[in-house]
Amino acid sequence: MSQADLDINRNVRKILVKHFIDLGCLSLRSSNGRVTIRGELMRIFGVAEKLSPPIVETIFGDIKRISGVKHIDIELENWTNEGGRWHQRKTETKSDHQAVQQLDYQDYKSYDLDADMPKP
Amino acid sequence: MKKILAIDDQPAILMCLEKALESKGYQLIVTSDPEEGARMLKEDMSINLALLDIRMPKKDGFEIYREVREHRKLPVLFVTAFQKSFTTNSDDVVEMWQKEFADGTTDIIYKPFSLNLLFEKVEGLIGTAEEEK
Repeated sequence: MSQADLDINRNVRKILVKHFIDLGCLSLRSSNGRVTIRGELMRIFGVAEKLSPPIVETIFGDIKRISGVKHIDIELENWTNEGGRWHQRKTETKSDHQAVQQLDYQDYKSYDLDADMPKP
Repeated sequence: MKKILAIDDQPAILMCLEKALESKGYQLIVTSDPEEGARMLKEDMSINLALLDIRMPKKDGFEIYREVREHRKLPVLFVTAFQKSFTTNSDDVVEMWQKEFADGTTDIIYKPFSLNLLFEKVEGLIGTAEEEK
């Protein structure tokens, strides 16, 4: 990964943070100016103002204007772009599931990593 | 070679992080003692990235983060099972988010996670193991 791509990543995170986007729900990759963002676009807990199509449009518009960004691929589980307009999907998402898990797991020390993590 | 310090009070997780990231060529230092880890992060300027658990006895990851970031703008990846740790209901978190996260050198990964996502988050913050930053 080039320094230019690292700088793009940092600038993308800056934009996401400015909008209180939960970075833990997204994966971000930059390669030769091509930015790929996957996962769920959602705000951290407690933010009163919900994400709306204009805000989502602003976020990705700002990302497209980052110096060095040539192309942006967006694959979100909870938002979709149809005809140039953003819409929120109605399906259950990973964060819904995770929220339930967090309520269930009072003893967080029992949490294990994914099955594909190497066993100690 | 880039050096990463991981602090987590669960040794099993540290072993997993160590094994996974060393396979990618990073040098890993791990500790389950948050106070020792905080000291190392402040003293060892050759460390390129910190992996911080949040909920730990004696000292939590946010405290370590604030202490270290007063000394240097070290890239940090929070590794936590608790998404609700990041909330605007806490004035401390909001202040940290707006003052420290805003420079784009901090990221978050939630347990459980895939190795691919871990590698992507680490490389996205500091590049691959051998690249100069």
